[in-house]
Formats: sequence, structure tokens, C-alpha cells
Amino acid sequence: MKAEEYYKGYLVNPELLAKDPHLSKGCETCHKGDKSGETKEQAHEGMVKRPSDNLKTCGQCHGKIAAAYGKSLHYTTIGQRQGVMARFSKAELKIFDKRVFEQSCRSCHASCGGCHVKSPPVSGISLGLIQGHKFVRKDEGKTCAFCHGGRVYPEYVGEYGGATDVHYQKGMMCLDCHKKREFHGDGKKYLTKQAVKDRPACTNCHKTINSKTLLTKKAHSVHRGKVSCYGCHSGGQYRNCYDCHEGTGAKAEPGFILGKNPRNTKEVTTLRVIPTVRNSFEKVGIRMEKFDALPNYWNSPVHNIRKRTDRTRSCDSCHTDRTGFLTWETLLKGGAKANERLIHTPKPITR
Amino acid sequence: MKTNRLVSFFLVLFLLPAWAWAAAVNQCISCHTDDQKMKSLVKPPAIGGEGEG
Repeated sequence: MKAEEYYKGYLVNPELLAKDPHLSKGCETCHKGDKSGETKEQAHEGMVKRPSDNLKTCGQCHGKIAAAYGKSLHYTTIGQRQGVMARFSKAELKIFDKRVFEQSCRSCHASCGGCHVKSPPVSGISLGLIQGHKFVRKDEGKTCAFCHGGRVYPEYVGEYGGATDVHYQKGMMCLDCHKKREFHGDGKKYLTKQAVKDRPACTNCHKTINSKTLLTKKAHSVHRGKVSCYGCHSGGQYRNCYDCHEGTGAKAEPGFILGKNPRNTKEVTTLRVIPTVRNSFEKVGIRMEKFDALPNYWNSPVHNIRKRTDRTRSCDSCHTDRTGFLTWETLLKGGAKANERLIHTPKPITR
Repeated sequence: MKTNRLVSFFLVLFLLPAWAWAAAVNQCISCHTDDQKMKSLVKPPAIGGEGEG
């Protein structure tokens, strides 16, 4: 979007006023404000920018969905807290909850309107109304892509110059794998996305591997349970973020890292550097007494999947060259002690 | 019957302008559907930083 077209994101399509039942009760029903105000300031006095932040607004008609959504991870954002809390002492966690989680992390939660009406704001910037204030079912490019535009979405569509994900190439979008129930929630309060039942998995579609060659069949059977699908089928480099919370600005770099899955060390998978560093929360008085308890790499379901990669073409890529594998030399400098247990050295194949 | 008609006539006479006035002063719609007005009122914010996720 060009800067001179930014205002278009605030233009309401007048045709919708008569057509869409959501708009029939008048703007002020949801947005409050003063509809007879003559200036922008007067009209916006007391206005509610994001009425669906209050789930009761949509819940008046969509009660079941709103009740379930109130417990979903997109709304609670509790996953962000879970991902870092093991680094804190009890006292530090209290400070984090009050000064970081509620004031920063929670501000990122998605409201109903953030997906169905207006592109969600990131750092105060939004792409505006999705389709002139129409209540849309989905528009991933303007919603998912905006919040997940730092890593996952550009990776998926190949905007980093890397390999476009084969699923995107075949015409699939976010909601083809991530089902509606995953966003709206199933009524249970999950603490992490890993705990969500029915979350996407390659094996939901690829139940059987229709391998034509003996080598492919063997590769899948030998590596099952030991290497994740991403480990072999990631198309190459993906984005890793460094030092996001140091107060000096984020540094994003492409990289491809293989190592043990911190959540299941029996499996080798793609790892992504996470931005938390030792002084991330220093400004609010958190030293992270237990910083070393968690690694600086997490297993990542990277979104640049290809059928054929260097690793599917040749066993040597891992078993001889060890391309991309985390080593003592490539470990993050000043990183957590927990990083060390993610190093995996593939054994050579005896032929 | 005649009285009813008379009442209805006066009701329409008084309420129609009131309805028309109310409709005319809905500033939300008049501004948010006017391309030129919105162009003059909405200023793009400064862009900086990385995206999330």
C-alpha cells in the first residue's frame, strides 16, 4: 500500500449500509462517539476504535463463538507468557505480568474485528478496513499476514527470496491448514499452541507417503520419529530474529538451523532463533535469574516446505557434510546454557 | 376515521423533517463514505520496525 492511499483503509463502502445487517443499527451502536459531531474531534469523542475487543459486542448475536474465543490463544495471548516464564524467579514473574504481559503482549491480541473487519494494528499501523467495512469470512493476506508478517507469512509466499512454500504454490492459504476451530477456539483454555488439540500436522493430509522409489520409502521409514518433516523438507533459509528486546531494534537474518527439538530431544528438526536475550527485560527491572533454563532456539514449523531439497536428494547433506547442523562453533554467543543440549551430530552412514 | 387521518397527516408532517434531519446529520457516514474528505482527514503514520510472528 502506498502512503497516499492509506486513507482508503478508512473508507466505508456505502453499498454495504443497506445490505449488511451488521451495519443496519448505525455506526454508534458499536463505535459509540457522537454521530452528529461536526468536526472529526467532536465526532470521535468517546469513540470505541475496536468494539470487538469487548467480546460482548459480537457475543450479542454470536454468543457461542465469542465465549469460546475468549479462551483461545489468539485472544488470551498466554502462549507468549508461557514461552518465557521459566526464565523468571517468582518475583520477576510478578513484575513481568504487571509491566510487560498486560501492557505489551496483551495489546497484540486479536479481536473478532481484527480478522473479520479491519486489518489488525501492528506497532500502531493497520492496513485499514478489509473490504470497506464488510464483515468478511477471511482474507489471510490482510489479517494473518499483518501480524505474522515478520517471519511466517513472507516465508510462506517466498518474499524473502527463498523457496516459496509448495503449498502456497499449489494455491493453499493459511486457513487450508489452520482450521476455523483453531482460531475461534474449542472452549478450552490452552496455555501453548503445542497443547492445542487438532492443530495442523503434515500427516493430516499426507497420511501415506506414496513413494515411488525404494530410496524414498527407506528414507521415510528410517527417519520416522527421529527427524521432523521440516527437517528434510524445509526449502532452505528462513528468517531468524535476534536481539528484538534489547531496545536497539531488531535484527533479522536468514538462516537454516538443524538440531534437537527442545520439546522432544529424540527428534531432529528445524530450529529458529528467538529474540529474547539476557537484558531483554532489564528496563523493567527483570534480570532473568533463570535465563539459562530455556534455550534461545525453538523447534519451528517453518513455512517454506519443498518436496525436493538438498537433504532429500542426498544422504550426504546431513550424514557427511552436516549442513545446517548446530555446532559448538555456531552456537549463539552469550546464549543460554540450555542451547548446548540441542546440538546433534549425525553419524556417518556405513555403506 | 376522519380524526385518525388528520392525526396521521400531522404526524407525517412533523416527523418526516425530523427523520430527514437525523439522517442528514450522521457525520460518521457522510465522512467515511466521502473519498476526498477522508483523503484530507486521514494522515498515514510513520512506519518503522519489524513485523511480528
